[in-house]
Amino acid sequence: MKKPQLALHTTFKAACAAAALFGLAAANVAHAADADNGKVLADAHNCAACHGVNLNKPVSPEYPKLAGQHSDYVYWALRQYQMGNGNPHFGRNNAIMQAQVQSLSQSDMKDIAAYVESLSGDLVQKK
Amino acid sequence: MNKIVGKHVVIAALSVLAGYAASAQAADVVGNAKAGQGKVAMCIGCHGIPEYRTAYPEVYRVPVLGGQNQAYLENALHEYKKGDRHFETMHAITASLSDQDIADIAAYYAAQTPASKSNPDK
Repeated sequence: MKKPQLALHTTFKAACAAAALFGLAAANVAHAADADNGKVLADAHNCAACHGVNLNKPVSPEYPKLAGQHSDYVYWALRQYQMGNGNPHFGRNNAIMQAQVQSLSQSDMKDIAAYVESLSGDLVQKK
Repeated sequence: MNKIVGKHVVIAALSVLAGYAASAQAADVVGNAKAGQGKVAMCIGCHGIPEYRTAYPEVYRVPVLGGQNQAYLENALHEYKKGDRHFETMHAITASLSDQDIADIAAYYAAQTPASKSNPDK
């Protein structure tokens, strides 16, 4: 009487584990930032026109160097520019950047951020 | 004809004056990297720790500052102070900084290279 129940239980556990693994894998595929696509987007949006060659030689000292910057910070900054004046608590107010990011999806911004971090430039972490 | 020329002369003169006023304000404060070295105690607590993350309103690693453009850093600090850029911690810290402090701190970070030594004051 007990055995079939146990077998069913084991089967159920295995099925759950498989489902969880599959879900995890699918989620990772869906959310992994794609630096190659980020490069395509960065070229299409002409980021280098202001941020310079390799995004490390801005044409004005008022613009930031981006190469090597943390991707999660870059992603958040892009989202803040997208919020712009519409969000008085978090938005960043910059006419050029606001116009640049309007058409980007969140996954586009993650891809661009991953591309930015993949570059190496002048940025260094020192105390 | 004369009226139109005169108008343009006035506009040009005003533009020159406006430009002069804007640059004069900036020219008063010159950043000094050496002086900045003694003013970054509050920065190091986050920006000096590799991979240090902030938690609100989004989890992200705080930006790398070393080697960044001086003018960009200076503007960013002023914007945090004024409230045009939003992050409570940065707003609180910059509120205590003078224009000279901001210029010095920006100069300090802008001057950093891979060969720079860690801040000897800390």
